[in-house]
Amino acid sequence: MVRFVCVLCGVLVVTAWAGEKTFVLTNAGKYRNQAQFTSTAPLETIVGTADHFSGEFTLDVAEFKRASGTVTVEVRSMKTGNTTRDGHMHGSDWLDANRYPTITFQLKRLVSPSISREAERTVVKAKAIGDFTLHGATKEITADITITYLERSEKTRAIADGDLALVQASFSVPLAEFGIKGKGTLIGSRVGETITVEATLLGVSK
Amino acid sequence: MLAKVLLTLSVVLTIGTIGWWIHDSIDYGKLLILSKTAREVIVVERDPLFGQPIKRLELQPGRWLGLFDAAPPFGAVPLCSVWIALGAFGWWLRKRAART
Repeated sequence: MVRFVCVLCGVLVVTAWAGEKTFVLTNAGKYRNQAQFTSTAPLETIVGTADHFSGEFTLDVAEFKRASGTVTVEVRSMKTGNTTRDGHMHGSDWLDANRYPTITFQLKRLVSPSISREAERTVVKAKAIGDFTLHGATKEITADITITYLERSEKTRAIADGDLALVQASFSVPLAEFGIKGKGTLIGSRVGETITVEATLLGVSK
Repeated sequence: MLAKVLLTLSVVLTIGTIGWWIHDSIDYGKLLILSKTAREVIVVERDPLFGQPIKRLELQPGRWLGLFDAAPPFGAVPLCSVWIALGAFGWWLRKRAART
């Protein structure tokens, strides 16, 4: 009887975790991991990119109810198209790249996933909840995400050897909540109080 | 003579710098408050493999003059201040020469 219960539990656990896959962030083919950030203020709109990403995430590709993982981006890879301004942005008044060289998002769970399956693609729209660490402060944020999952096939092999998950996320970052005060009165006049971020990331299964 | 040269130079350089800023702003597509060393080009393509529109921001290198940069590369306002100061010096020289 005990053996039966143990086997049953084992089967249940294996079944529950069978759909889980771990994806590693990869620049593959024409696909480049990139985040675009936009600051909108009365005097200026600043648009920039960040592209030195690393990390991995795990998805339950059967039902997309479980998700976890960590995505990290290097602060010094953030660029705005003005080298002087980039220097200020990386400096101690703003992101302080020397003390806080990376920005991290630790994914905790997906909420209300809506799944649509079409041909070889599975598209999931959901809210991703996780801890966002910036400037040494960690806050829970919610991102709108779309995951497009492709199982390994001849088509995906041209990009990378594995299942592919394209993650498109958008969220907002209120600077004050992360202790970023900026210089003088620039926040609110030339730099937005909230920065919007859109990220496109490609994960290849291990 | 030097005064005249300085005054002429001041006017030419001030107009030239403002013209340069206007030209660069038109070329860039918006009024440049700060100088740019890259142009932001947003590309949105529907990806055939993933079937999703993928947005990509490209920073195309270049150099466009801004208005207020107080550090190198200096913007149009600091540059014009120098040219106007040069003109004022020329004007002062001319006044002094007229007095003597």
